[in-house]
Amino acid sequence: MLSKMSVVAFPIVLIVMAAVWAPPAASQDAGGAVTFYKDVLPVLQKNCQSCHRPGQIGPFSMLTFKDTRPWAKAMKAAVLSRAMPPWFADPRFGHFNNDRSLTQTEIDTIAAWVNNGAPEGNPTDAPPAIEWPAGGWQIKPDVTFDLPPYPVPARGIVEWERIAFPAPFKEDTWVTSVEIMPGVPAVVHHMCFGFQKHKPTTPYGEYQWMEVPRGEDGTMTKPDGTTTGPPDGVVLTRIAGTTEVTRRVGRPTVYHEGTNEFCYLPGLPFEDYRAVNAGMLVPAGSDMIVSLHYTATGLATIDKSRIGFTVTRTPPAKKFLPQDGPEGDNAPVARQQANATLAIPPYATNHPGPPAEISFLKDVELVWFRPHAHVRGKTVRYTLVYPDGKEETLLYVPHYNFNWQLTYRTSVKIPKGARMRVQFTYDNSTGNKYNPDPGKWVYYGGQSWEEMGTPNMGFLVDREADENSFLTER
Amino acid sequence: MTRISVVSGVLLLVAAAAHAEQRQVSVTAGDGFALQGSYYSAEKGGPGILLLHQCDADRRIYDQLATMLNVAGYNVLTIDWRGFGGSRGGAFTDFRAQRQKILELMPGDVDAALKFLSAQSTVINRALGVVGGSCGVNQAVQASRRHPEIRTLVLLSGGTDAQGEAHIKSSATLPIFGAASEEDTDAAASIRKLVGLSAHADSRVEMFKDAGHAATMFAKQQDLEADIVIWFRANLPVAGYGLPPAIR
Repeated sequence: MLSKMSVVAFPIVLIVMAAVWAPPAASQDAGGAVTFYKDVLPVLQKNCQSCHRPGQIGPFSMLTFKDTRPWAKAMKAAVLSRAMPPWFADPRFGHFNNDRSLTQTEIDTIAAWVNNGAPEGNPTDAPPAIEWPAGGWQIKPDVTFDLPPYPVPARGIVEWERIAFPAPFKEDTWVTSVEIMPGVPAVVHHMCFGFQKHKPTTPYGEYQWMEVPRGEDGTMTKPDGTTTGPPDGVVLTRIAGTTEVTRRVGRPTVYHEGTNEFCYLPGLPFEDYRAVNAGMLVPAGSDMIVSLHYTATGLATIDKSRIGFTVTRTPPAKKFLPQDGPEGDNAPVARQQANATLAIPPYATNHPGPPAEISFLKDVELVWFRPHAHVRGKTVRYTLVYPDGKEETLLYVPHYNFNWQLTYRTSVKIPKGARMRVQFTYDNSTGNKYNPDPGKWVYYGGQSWEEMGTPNMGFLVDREADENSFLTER
Repeated sequence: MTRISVVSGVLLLVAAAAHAEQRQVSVTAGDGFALQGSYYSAEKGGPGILLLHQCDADRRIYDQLATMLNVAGYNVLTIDWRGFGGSRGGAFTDFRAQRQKILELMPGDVDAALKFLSAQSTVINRALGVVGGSCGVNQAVQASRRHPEIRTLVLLSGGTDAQGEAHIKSSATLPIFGAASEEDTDAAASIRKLVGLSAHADSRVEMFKDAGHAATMFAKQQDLEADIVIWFRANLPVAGYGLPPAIR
């Protein structure tokens, strides 16, 4: 089933570039100096430039010596403290092949360069410049799709909305990487989408969302453990490009039966599975169901987000199966993580949320984790329980950072009969500087002032495998 | 580190200027006086930062910092106090002679500047920051008393009054970055005291030697401007969930 096909996420690291430029040692030339061109630039190309270049999230560019040199001291401080590059996995657990934290040698190189006066060196020592994609893209898309301009209000609550479009492919197409480029990142909480077979009842170009009963402070009056409100109730709709909102009682007709296969989240700009010869097949005539969540921040603006794809005519060897989504919209079975029981007390410093447990019905290869929580998220631990009862922590994030919702890419063979237990904790105290109100109870929900603990994972399966019933969750 | 500073200042201005554009603006104060300023708009929208200069310079002392902040994603406004730079004119032509009157008018002028900044189409007006130098320090602190949407302060070589100190002491959600030079004895003591009073765990102070006063420290401590930009990025997010939602 197409809707259950999935992808793997590879965050910002450029795999190809990493292969080309191995990390240099803190070498010294004949004059004894660590130089920018010879020693530092290769480190920056491999680990930093994807974000630190014009148009990206980094506050300054590291493309050239001229761009980089003024920030030398700040760079040294950031790498010594390991604040940069952002990477949050506890090194005691798991192995991640996209670990972008610097090696000690790379840190020493940058520190030595700064300590020695940050010399430029000889330009002929420089590695070839990376040819970054134009137009602000991280990938170099073969196909692009422009979402309709979305007017984000200055104030109010914008519920999660869905909208359908015909997929931008005229024939059966293997997609190998996807990037969602938000137009105004300041107002985008998330954008996700998946593909599914077109249904006659699915209208194109119509935003649909559920009316969620809320109090004046935005709190759901009846927390029900969902992000989008009840499955039926008052449905609101708006045709793209218009302002008129209509209401009806019933169920939404724009709904993705599978999981969200691609997402933009802060710190997660694109998903790429070319390096492992994998992809997902989008049959001709498929629909693209896009889930949008904007947050009003006081800035009335028009968001013009774009989606880019790379594709291949050669079917890759593998395809991906995700375990994704906040609640009961996952393939292959409804998810039963007890989200409705999430209730974080005021001033709690380390409150455990309802654990998720995933049972594996077949042997499967786990290839990524992408834990998701909001501003009170504190830690997350993925523990694999083998059939013989042995337990192994595969990922522990001791300081979850909602601004960097990283994908942790791995390769773990999971045997049939194993279970994955995923535990989030939350900090609702004054010690959490992003906590908007430590005095409030916090419940499950999709808004940033609410919380969730979504244990996203990705699995690799053979291209022809039937992905149904690889796992269940309860 | 000295060699870094000398070279970096030149390079920084060149590199940053390639990305930022400023426009001259006029901010109308409550009494109708036109404060002259420079505004740097963030292309994709973002928080706003107001830069308040010291009383022995004018707004041009922040040209480089404003450009760097703008490249980093912020909307930035600098203004000339009355009697300085472009705001020297009309009834205000001599700060030394009119010091008391101008100081009394500063809070209103800051409010006018914040109103102007908040009204710009790309500014997230619930997420503001203020930089104050010397006489601008007290104005920055007092502004944060009046405007809870100010989420962080950068204070250079100056102090505040008892009310300002009480405000800082009670503001657990207001991180403060302070900087001064040791030989600037009174200013250094004031900054140390202010940051020491701060109830926010992330507040920090940088002390230099022979660096000068307020924004003139940038000339000898050119890493300071980069540090200020990094401070804002850590304490005034330009995107993501760290931006406060505007429910009402």
